[in-house]
Amino acid sequence: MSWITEFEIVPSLGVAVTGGLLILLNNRRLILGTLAFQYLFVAWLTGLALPLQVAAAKMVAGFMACSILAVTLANIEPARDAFQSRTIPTGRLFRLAAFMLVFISSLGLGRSNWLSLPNLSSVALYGLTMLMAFGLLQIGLHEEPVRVGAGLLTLVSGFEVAYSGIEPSFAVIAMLSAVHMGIAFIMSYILNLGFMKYPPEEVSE
Amino acid sequence: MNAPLILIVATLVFTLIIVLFRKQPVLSAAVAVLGAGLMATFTSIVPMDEPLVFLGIPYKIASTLWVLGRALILDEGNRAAIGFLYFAGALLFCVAWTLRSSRNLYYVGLLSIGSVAASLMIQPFLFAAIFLEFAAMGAVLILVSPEYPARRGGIRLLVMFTVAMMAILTAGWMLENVGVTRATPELAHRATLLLALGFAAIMAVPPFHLWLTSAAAEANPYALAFVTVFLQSAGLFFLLRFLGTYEWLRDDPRLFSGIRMVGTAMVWFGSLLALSQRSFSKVMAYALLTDFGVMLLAVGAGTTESNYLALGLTGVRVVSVTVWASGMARIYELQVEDNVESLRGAAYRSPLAATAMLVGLMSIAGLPLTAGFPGRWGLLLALAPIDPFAGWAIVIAFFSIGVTTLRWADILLSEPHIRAQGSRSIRERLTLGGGVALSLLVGAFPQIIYPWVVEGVSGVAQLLP
Repeated sequence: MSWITEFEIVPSLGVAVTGGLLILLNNRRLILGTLAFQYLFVAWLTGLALPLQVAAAKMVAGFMACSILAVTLANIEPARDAFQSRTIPTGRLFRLAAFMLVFISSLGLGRSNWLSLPNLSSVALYGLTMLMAFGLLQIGLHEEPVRVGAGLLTLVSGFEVAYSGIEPSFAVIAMLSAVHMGIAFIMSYILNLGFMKYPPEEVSE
Repeated sequence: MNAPLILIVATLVFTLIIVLFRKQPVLSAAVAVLGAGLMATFTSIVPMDEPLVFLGIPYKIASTLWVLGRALILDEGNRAAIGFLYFAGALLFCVAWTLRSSRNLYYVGLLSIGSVAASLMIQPFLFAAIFLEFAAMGAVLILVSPEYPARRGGIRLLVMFTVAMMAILTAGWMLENVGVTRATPELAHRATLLLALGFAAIMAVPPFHLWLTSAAAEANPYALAFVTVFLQSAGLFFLLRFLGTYEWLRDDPRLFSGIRMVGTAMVWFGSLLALSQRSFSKVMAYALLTDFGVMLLAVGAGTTESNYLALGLTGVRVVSVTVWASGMARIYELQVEDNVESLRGAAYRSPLAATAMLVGLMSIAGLPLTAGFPGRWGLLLALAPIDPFAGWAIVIAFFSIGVTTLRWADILLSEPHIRAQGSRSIRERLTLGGGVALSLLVGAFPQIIYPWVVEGVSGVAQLLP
């Protein structure tokens, strides 16, 4: 469809905004909502290289990953933040400064085809560079499962935008979609662990 | 019939059975051991693509399974490695029976070994990185359990393997599709850097080792032992397949000197930090880093013999780590905390467990008369003429971890007034004592077992001239 390529700047701007929000927001539910919204832009970026149906399938996988985390968050106490970093400064001002630095760096990096990828428009290159950079920043700043999960999913999304253009096979698309859901499941499990009461392991033989 | 399909179905069926009986640890362990043992046997001895007759019925087991346009192939190049992984899994499941390890160990462990096996069977093999990511997810579920919530270690492990997956997939695409050869030095340099990043993350090269030290501090020792054994083995097999497949990569002497340099740095880093730890689990984590460094030195020597030594070291690590972890897990069961103060006199609380801890550490260090010694000694002899600096690193590791062992023996044997705590069942004596005996046996008579270990896992090394 022509509008996908005609307005290709929209998803790149979109991931810049959602990436920033993911880093700056404190509320974990809002983070998940933003992540789900980001998958819309990721699908758009992917749609520049792949058929729209395949891009939509990726978006569904992303939404499922967000759903897994959302269901877990809905079942745990909202006030308790189980796993805060004790070593990394995580104030909003610090995160804003870090975000700005990474944003400017990714704009600089996105100017050239740093991955030597064929069939990739310059705007899409900005988009995937920002996704990967913001994902790495998010992982580096936090140790809390939802935030690290969001960072990992953002990082993998950026990679997928690049990789689906060069390796469009169905097997790889399916496996990378499974990676998204797997990451969400693992983070959900870790998140759950602090809140659920597990029965002690039965030792009778 | 189809060999990869049989392996996949069998792994899923045994996993399902374990899940059904997960509240009965002995039955779970028995099914896991049986499943892993049967798959090890099947992988190692059943002939592929040959007409066979069973009970008068002719049949043939095909070696290839096609899934979504990609092939899973069980052939001579990978069956020994896959058999080794399932066999190591069976051994680890067998010993886990006597310990209260992670509740996820059996079924997630079997699935993770299946995922590593798939990573060795997939063609083009570059997609193995995705299966290793799945194996890492399984490893997180094993490390992080309700009893041992090793969240930090688990999350870091997943991050490292995700980064590795992306780096290796991108490098693989460059190698397969862009046409990287000796004639394209800039692209070759870029692909090599991406590969180095990917393998550094998989093989816990500092600073990518942070998951290991975090997990050592928080996770069940036996769960950590299981994870390190199969993830590091998978990493080594994957590295050797890369080197075996791309001749230009193998022929680059700078690559091997680079691997040796990284290995030497790891050995120094691990040896010196092991000396200064106040937690035995962290000592073990740094000793393992040293061991991974030695393994990289073996690969970096770049000869067929040294590749066999790397495989042999991987094989005996199963014994060493199992012995250490079973001892440590038993000490944990006695409610002893993992620090110098709490571990004082632990040898009197549980002499067998303390012995296992120390023998495991000595074996990881490659001290004489332990399982790790023949490989280390052989490597020292092979490496010293090629790279004296790397040879000295191995000697430093001997001394450093040796001194660490003496220090911890002193700690464990202090406070002699403490009495033995808890009853020692026959199965505990059997596993702890058997493990210690096996480690010493391999060290004392390497000519009996070592060639068998090397032979067992050597099918993966296609680096013969």
